[in-house]
Amino acid sequence: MKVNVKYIGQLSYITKKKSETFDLENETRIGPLIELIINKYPSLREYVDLKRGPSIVLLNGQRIEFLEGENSMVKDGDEITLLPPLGGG
Amino acid sequence: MEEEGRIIKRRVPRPLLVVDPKKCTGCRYCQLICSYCHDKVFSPARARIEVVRIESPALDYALACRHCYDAPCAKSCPVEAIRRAHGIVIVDKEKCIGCGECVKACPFGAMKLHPDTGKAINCDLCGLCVKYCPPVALKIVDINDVAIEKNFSEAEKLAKLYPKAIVG
Amino acid sequence: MKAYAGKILEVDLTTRKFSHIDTKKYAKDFLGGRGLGVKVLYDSVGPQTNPFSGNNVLICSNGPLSGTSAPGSSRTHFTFKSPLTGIYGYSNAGGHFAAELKYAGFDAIVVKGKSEKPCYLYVHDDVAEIKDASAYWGETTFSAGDKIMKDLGERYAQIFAIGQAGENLVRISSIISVGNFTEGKAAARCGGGAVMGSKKLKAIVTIGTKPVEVAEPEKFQAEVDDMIETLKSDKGSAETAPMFGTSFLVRSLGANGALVTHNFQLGKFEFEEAISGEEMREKYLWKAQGCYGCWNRCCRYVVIRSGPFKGFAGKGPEFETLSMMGSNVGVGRLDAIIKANELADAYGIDTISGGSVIGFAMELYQRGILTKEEVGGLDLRWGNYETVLELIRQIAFKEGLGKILGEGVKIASEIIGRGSEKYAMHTKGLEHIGGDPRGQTGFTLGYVTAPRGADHLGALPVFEYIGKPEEGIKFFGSAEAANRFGVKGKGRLVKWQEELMAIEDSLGTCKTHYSHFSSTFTKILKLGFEKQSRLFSLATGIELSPSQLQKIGERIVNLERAFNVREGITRKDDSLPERFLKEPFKEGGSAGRVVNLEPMLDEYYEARNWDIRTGIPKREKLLELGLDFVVDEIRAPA
Repeated sequence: MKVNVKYIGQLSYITKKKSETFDLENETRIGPLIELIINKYPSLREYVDLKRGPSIVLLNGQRIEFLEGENSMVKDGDEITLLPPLGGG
Repeated sequence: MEEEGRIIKRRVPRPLLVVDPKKCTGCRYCQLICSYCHDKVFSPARARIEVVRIESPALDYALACRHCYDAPCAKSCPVEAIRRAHGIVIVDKEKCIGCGECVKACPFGAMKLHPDTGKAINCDLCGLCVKYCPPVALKIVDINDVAIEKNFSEAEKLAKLYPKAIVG
Repeated sequence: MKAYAGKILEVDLTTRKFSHIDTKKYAKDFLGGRGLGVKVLYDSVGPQTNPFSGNNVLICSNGPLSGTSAPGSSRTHFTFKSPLTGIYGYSNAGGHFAAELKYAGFDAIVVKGKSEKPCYLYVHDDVAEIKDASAYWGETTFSAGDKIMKDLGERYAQIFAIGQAGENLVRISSIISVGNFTEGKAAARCGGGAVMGSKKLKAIVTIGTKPVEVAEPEKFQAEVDDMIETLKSDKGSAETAPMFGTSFLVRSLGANGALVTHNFQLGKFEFEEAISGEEMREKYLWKAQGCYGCWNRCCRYVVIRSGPFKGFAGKGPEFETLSMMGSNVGVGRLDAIIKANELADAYGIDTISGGSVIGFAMELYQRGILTKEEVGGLDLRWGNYETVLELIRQIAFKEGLGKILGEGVKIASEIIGRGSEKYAMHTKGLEHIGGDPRGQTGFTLGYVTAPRGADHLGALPVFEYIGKPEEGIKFFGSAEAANRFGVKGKGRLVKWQEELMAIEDSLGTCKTHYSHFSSTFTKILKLGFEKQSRLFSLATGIELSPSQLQKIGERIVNLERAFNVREGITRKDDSLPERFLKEPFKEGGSAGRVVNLEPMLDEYYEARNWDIRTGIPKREKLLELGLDFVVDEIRAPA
């Protein structure tokens, strides 16, 4: 299944891209998916560590704190956004 | 000037406050902390560092006394209140009569007359502006090290142009 | 009373007379800046005052922390009765003016009356002069600033000026900072430019050498040092701000599906990446710049090296301009937005209101309500940036369609009629901003309750983007408060935030340091009432606890509400355009949502102790805040 991951702000400089598609074998939870992404880009850990925080991870536009946290299910076609921890305006 | 604990006795120390004009944002925090440090007030008019912005395209430049070896201010002073010691140009507050000759003589505009005492003031390299500068644009360097660094970076540029020659 | 200059300048441009007011009259109860402004305005201007008449009053004020080493003490505040909305108006800008006014010996300037001929105010080291501005009338803000500095022989002068739009009494005109360290910071909202224009006041110029003393220098600086450590250790202020400023919000709000597009019809913009902060950094950014005493350096300076605007070097747009003059009007190229920003700053037009009225016109064109022939052949298709630039010019000079649009979207829709009111996106006559209401309920409640109209800075509850559910429960009574789609807890959140914003606007401090650009709510709590009460107390010698400081914020908000109630505002005006209540987005991160306003408003009024039916502050609350003089005037309910 394919999911699209977007990188915002300085995160896109760490990954050297604005977004990318991940091709995964099965449905997964967001926690393991984030770990997968951090393994690929270790410097992302200080921005998106779900255990330590602060972090802002959106699943289809909604912060995962308001879904099932790191257990939120990720399905085919979903859009994940990693943001530098920061507010709107 | 002791840079990273290294004292090179065979060289005359030449400390210099330098700014990176691309990093400097023109925020003038250096002026605030300078007047606070020396006079316990907030007042760029009383600061020993100036900040200038040039437009199109913008550069922000912080300027302070360069502690010249052959200081024009010292030479111009009619009462010999300005001298150079330990690499720094110092104004003797007791002797200074506030005539302004040093202000005229300085090619950088780094001397000014204090609005309250009327006497000449200049940067004394206390280093607080360096400590506080928000974009870390200010540094106190030894001018000799600046030259050495440039030697190396020029050499590195050349090395990239002629790889075969260097390798042999 | 330290840190303050101690006196306020009052000038009557009709009689050409000056007088001084002791700042002590306002300091303890209203602090300075916005608080001082609302008190003076409430006392001097009312429902009978025409905003263009000589009876309107313009207050230009700094704050007690201006000119000190408190990080980000750079803000100047303008208060006036708004010619755009007809109610309470203010605008606020950074730059270097606020500190300079303090060094010149003044905490505020109160401008009354009208000058017969164009003039400017020159305020320097305790002296004030009214000088002839005929040579600068008709010039852009930047050109006037340069010429005034040259003619005065003052290279370090700080200036706030109006452009041709303000001179022509355009209702959406702005006041722009020029002079030394010209940055084009904009005090843009509510038509302050037109108020200055109506007084024939081209500019306010200041320069000074007086020192600012604080009551306890070592302890004050220790508090500052502690705050600097906090700023350095937070990725928002230490990284995101200097790297992007607010421009990171383009893709951030885009991911949330709340980036205002095509006059608020969509929440996603096709060309989002091309107008993003990342794009600006890669293609155009020359360097970051900072206002006076700034630790965030979120100002952008850009250079355009190719294309139709090649050679431009100057201020780069922040988020509101990127959205309102970009995605809102369909313009998908950064260089055109940079140019639009330059023109708007030069003529002195609010980029938010300007982008909104142009988007409004484009939607009318899209729907066939306005035809090409009627608008002098203008091609109003989405994304036509040449039209955008032409319309900015027309607005400034009251030509063609620009003459109608420059009246603001509410009045423009009334002039055009034909059902166009449906597409006029405003609250209380002030145009809406770049974050769509359907994607952020707390911000939206803030848009609705803000005293000057639709205003993102009235509350700025970034908590709903960074807050944790537990924090929502602890501080605002519901986990929903931390959710940008939540309803419960938003009333209490917005109340708390509004009081904090009122304090920052009154101390002269910049929101980006104390509440925006934060990764955690913990930081906002620390630098909010806590830090600012200590900075204020140690600077002035007037002891204020955090809760006492918050109370002053509450007092300011209530007095602003009273001013508006006196002008006829009630709950019915705390409203939103139907679009946000009835038309959900079909796609994007905020799809399927509309705003559920009434329960949030109920909770807000309850938290404020305002009458739930009318939204009028209750007697008991006004007396509690020492606002007894208001009670009878607005017939406050029991």
